[in-house]
Amino acid sequence: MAGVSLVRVSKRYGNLVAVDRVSLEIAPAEFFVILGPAGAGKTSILKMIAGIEEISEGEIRIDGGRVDVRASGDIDAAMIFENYALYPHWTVFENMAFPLKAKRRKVTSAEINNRVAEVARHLEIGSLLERYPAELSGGQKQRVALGRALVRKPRIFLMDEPLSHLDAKLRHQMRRELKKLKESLGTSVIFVTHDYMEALSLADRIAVLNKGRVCQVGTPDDVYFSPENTFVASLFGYPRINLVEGRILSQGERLVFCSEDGALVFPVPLRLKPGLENRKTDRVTAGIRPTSVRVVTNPPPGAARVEKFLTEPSGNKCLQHAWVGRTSLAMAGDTVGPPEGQDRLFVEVAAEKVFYFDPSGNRIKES
Amino acid sequence: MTMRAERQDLKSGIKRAAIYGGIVLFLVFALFPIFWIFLTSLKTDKDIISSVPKFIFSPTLGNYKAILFGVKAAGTETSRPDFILYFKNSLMITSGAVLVSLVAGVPAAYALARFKFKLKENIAFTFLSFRFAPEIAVIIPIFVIYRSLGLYNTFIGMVLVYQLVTLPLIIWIMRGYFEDLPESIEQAAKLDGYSRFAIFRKIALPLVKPGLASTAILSFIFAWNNFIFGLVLGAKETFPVTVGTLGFISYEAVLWGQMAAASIVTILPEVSIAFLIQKYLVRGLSMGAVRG
Repeated sequence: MAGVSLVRVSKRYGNLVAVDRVSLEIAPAEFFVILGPAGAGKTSILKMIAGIEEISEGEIRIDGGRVDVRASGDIDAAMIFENYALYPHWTVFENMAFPLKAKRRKVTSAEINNRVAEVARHLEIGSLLERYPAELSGGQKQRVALGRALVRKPRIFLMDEPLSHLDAKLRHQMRRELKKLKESLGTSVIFVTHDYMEALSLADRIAVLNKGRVCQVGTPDDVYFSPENTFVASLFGYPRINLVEGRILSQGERLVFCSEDGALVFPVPLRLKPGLENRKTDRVTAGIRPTSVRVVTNPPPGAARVEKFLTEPSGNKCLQHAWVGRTSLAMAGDTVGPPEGQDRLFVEVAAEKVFYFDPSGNRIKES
Repeated sequence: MTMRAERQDLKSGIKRAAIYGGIVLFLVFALFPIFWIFLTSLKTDKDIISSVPKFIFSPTLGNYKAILFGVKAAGTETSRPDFILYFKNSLMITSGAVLVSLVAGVPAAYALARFKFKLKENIAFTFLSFRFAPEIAVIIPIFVIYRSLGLYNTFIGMVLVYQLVTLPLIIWIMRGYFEDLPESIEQAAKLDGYSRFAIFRKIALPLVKPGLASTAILSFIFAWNNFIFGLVLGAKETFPVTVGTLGFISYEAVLWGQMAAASIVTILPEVSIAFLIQKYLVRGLSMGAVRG
């Protein structure tokens, strides 16, 4: 069991800063996901931990021992590459045996056979051992790559978007298997992805990365239900969170949020009143999850009138778009929503669940 | 079939006929000299010098017997059994040169493809620049150097000077092959606990094998065809076959028939090797390594 810690690690390529003073603590046996859009520096972090890329600044420690100064063969991390990186000139068996054959590991050939066979059985690729990578499907290659990492029993696993090239069905299946594997493994996994669903479903904790910087580190619940900023909020969920610009106004004792053109107005929850009280001169952004808003036919008092309404049915769910003044709201509705073209529709916002962000995009918390 | 489809068919038919016509024309242009040499090699001296070129004659293997076994056939004046020696010289020099170039050039190509070091591009360019100047421009200084180093008319000297032909070729082509390998495969091996050299030997080298074969063959052909180095830096003991064939032009006569037979034998290794190339040029091996 090994934990990994990054202390103010940076990576520069010439003038480009790919990773900017990132500090992370990954606990032993933790499944840690690094999530971010393309070019956020996710893979660079992984490769620096693996020792494939040099770090420009900072320290990386595994089990308290510095690894950034050591050769990558000594680090004892297994990595699964985005393109699988199988050895094309060898059979599946040879691919999986290769890490064990390294001289430093001193594994006998009987032991190699046993371990490969055991892992192959576990991953259900026992029948593929004599095949070459070119003769495998994408999902099978994925399993072989996983198998090659597993036979070594490394201190940590590094996975670089391992599921991104599989088709949707296979991806879900592999996700379940990874989850199963995670329970039996007891080894830290650092998993890089740009897919928020993968992150939410697999991770113990998630680090959200943007432009080389860590935006937020937390459990899936943390990042989904308490996003630190608009970037994190809009990264999770489909359809994306609705970000509505507006102002905070007083209405008697209460505070209300009022969209830019005044068409959408809803109350601010009491717990946020202290934080928003002194924001009245600022423009704030309300973050409304598509699940926190719906259209209704019998309006509660003060509900905003929908001017245009569209639906996108997709089986068990139905995406809906409603226009209120100049604001468009995406909603994740039920299968049967109100019909399109109906002219007496209103939106109802679950005001308790709305996030508020200050002009620089940071969430305004209850203070 | 509609009118339009018919017209389309006709159009593509004409196009194809034109392409094939062009190919045939080019083949005639390129292959006729070889065909004529082949005919000449089967003729007696009398048939060769007849004022009307003869396409129909009674063929003889006399010229081949003369150059290969030194048999004086009827109608041939003298024989030059040295041809066998020159052929052997060519084989030794050319294979030696290609071998040395592979041993030195393939690791160099790998280093130029994968390592970061100072002046890398300059070094790579220097290798390429060996091919810029015509050999004739450097041959006199090389001759002087060879005389003083005692490399003149030695096989070692020949193999060394042939590096000017084979080494740049191998370094530059192999560098491209190495660069095309997905880096992640080598990174995976690195993480699996292997040294750089082990990765080169066990991963990179086997994966570029098809490229290696075709590059070696290509440089073999280039070296085999070289003329000037042998002419200036060698003597009878080390003459390659290209230079040796000149010996059929003597004071008394030009032995056209034997010269033609020698030319045909000389191109045999190249032709057979060229057929081998076709098989190796298929670069399927590194496919399937990455997602597919």
